[in-house]
Amino acid sequence: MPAHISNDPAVVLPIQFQCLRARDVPMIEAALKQIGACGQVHLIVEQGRLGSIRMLQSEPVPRAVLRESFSK
Amino acid sequence: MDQSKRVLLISRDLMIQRALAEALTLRGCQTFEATERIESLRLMYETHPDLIFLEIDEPDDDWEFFARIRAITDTPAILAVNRNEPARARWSKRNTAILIKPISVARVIDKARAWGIVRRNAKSRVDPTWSTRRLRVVDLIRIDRALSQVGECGEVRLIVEHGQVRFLEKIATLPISNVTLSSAKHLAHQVGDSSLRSE
Repeated sequence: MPAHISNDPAVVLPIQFQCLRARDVPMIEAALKQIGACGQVHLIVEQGRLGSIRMLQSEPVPRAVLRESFSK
Repeated sequence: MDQSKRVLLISRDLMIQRALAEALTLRGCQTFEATERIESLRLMYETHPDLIFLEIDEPDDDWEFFARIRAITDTPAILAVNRNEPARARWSKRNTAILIKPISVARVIDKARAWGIVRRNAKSRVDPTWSTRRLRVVDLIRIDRALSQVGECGEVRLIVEHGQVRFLEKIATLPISNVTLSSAKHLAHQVGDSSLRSE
């Protein structure tokens, strides 16, 4: 786990990212919010840059349904 | 009553805002972030900050904006300015600190500490939980590192469980133009694709 950046004297502002752009950040956060508690956010890299975002939302399966399917 | 000091961060750079907000929050401050001037003025009237951080990005407009702030309040201010900024000498006064860009978070904290805004040290290690509500600068650095590691084409997958990012998967993709015919045939043989094998 890296130390917090404010404790790292080498980190200067503005931070220079290699791939990420400032405008990408709200989009990634919106995707994370949209999928809710469970799911995946896929950040698709095209030509070395974030090209698109894919969202996969997961729904938990009720335990009763799981038990039923295993008993068959 | 909440005794934490209030800091207003005004910058068009999201990363500067976030990095300073995180560092100051870890040290017990309450932060408010603004990008636009109207929003900044609204927050200034509403929150009565103990410290203002302003990044001078567009010199003509931003110095004029700072002059407006100074007409309203004498609150201590930290200004981040470009090197060789001629207007900066005018504002080098007791309650205005001027830092030359690029700035470090540590320098801003030192200045804030000198004015008694920051009183305690931050936790030495970052919180390991990675919330999906707001990405921290450390999380963004991790994502950026992963994106650059996948190369020209690929994916970085953020896997969320119970409202937290639990895993980060990196998948590099090889463009089809880079696959030679012999390696494609070998692959086709392995997966049983007859269309390529018959060529």
